[in-house]
Amino acid sequence: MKIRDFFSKKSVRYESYSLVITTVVIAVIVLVNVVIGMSGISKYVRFDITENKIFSISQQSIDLLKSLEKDVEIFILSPENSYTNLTVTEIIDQYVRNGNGKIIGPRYVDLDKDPTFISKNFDPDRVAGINAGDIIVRCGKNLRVLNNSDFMEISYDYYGGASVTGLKVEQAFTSAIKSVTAEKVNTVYFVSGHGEYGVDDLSQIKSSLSLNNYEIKETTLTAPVPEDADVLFFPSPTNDLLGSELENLKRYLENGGDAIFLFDVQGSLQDLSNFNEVFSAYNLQLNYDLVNEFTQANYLKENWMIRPMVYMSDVTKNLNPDQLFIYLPMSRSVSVLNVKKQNLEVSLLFGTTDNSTSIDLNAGIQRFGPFYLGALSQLEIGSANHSRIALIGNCTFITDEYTSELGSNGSRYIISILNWMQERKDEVMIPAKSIETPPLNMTQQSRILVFILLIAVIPIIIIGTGLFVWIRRKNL
Amino acid sequence: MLAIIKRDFRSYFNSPIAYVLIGLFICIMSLFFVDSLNAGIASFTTNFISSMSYLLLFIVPILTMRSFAEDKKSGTEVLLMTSPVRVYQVVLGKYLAATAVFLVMAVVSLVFPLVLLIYGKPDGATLFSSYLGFVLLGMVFISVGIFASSLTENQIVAAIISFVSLFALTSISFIGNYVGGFVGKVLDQLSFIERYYEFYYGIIDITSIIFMLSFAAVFVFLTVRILERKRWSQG
Repeated sequence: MKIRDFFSKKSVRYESYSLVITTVVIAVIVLVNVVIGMSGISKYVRFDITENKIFSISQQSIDLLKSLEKDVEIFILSPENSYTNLTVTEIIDQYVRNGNGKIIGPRYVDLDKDPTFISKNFDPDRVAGINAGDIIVRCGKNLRVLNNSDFMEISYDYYGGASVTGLKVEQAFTSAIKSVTAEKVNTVYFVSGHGEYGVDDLSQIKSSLSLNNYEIKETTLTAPVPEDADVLFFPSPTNDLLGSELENLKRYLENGGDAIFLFDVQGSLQDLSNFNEVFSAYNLQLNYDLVNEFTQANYLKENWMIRPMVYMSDVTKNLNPDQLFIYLPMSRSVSVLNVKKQNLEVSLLFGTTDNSTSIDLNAGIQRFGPFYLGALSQLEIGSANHSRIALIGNCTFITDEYTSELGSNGSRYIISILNWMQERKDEVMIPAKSIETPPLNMTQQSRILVFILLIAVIPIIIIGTGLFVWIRRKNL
Repeated sequence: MLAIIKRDFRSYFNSPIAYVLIGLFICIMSLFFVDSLNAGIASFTTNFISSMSYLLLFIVPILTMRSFAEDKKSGTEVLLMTSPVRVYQVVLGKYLAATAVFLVMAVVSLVFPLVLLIYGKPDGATLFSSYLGFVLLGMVFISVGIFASSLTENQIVAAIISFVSLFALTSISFIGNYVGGFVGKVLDQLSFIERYYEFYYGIIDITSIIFMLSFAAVFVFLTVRILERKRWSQG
């Protein structure tokens, strides 16, 4: 009876009604948000409005995802709450969304809570040196490890200061997915033993090759070329091949092997006749000279910093026309031999204008241009096989130092040459997305004026107006 | 309701409070805008964007503290409560009036992107989304401020409740990161600061807009309930 009396009180009835209404309304609003959050609708109503579409993936990547037949898993080695790289998480979301269920993840793994996760789930040899924060892309037994340096394009100023100028997140993931789902990954062997550039000088080109789905290994030519070698890469040898090395190289090329030869100008004269013997089979010759360009549009500050003319070829036709320009610092020329061979096709890559000279480092003789600075050659072997080489009279343009200062178009050429050699016709390179902020064109004087205007003049006018209005109203 | 909006909006600009808040906001934000000027970049820095949100922690409580307390002080509360307008119209009117003052402040602060436009070529779309995030954040903050103002008759107490509540709400993601697990995930979902930063980076997420507007709606609704209760208890 007392309970009924209590609930029949007007105040209690009102309070109960009020409580129910409040709870219901809040519950509905929370529920709507939870449903929206959990349903994954968010992925379809998110819009990337940045100028360079930093958080979106290109049609090339979407096409790749549509063609996926195997499941690809993505592991982020970090607790979910601690992983703050918004660009990476947004891009992964896009892969998942467009992956027709073939992209699984991302799965966040806290290595502090699960320290044996890596050893339990992956081949320890393939994840050596992995760190917290890295990302693993896996398909079956194939895997690829990505870290922050794979996501950034870094430039250095003249004082060595580094700055991030672009993002390669999409490039990194698309390449990793291609790599782990590919039946075969092409292997590029960097040759050493002849004074070639070391790993420390070529880290950026190596990173670009990895990102474009090439496995990189190193070899000398003292033993036969490894069977899994698809391309040999010579980053500016300064000493000639030994007899046995020449034989190993010849045997490799005769079996349809491909090779890229990059030669810088030599500081001291070295006989490279064994190399030239290889090139002559392809109707090419490397000269012992230094080329200077005198047409103003074709050099940068110094005559030896050549911006070469680029010839249309199977290599250049796949490159973005806006990214064809390149600087070749201190180059040597390449000649095309006039020997008629039916099974040989030579095409030109780089050249200078008529208004150029070269100084022969052997004889000191000056010659007049135009000169070729790079060429491609294809030798048919039998009816179904061929060997392709590229010979460029410069290697400095792909070193870390010059890539950082003069842009990464050099690596685009190397990748395009590799794609031509491996006949990757459908290969489309995804350029890095610039994150450079547009500059403010202000003089120091206008900067100070604007600052004074913002910090003092405008606030004083606003507050002054307020005081004026207030005093006037007070005196009404 | 329109009459309430007009009346409250005018009262803000008939006293120096709106002018002082807007003037101070521009003055303080200029200190952070110097980063962009010194770096010579035509975009807002993260520092500038985060300062905009943290400055609102102080500005909104001052802006909203008088919403209901002022009526109590001037005696117009009884008139409002006994007038034919419904309580939700009163609350919504006051909320929209404070939001309008905030929008005036946001419009005046367009002087910063204007400088970037005059001296450079900023990414206009990202600037737009930054401002959209700022306006939505302001609307959430004002709803909390209005709610705090309805709880007490004292303006200072209202401002303190409002500040503490907003501070707690903006710290949700930090707490979420610290707690971790499912609770951390839930707290992370509730964080509107994280969503605010997404707007700054150039991502417009309709669910974030719905979330922030519904967050504001919850506090406006709670304010209506508080006043309904007062009106009922006063007979």
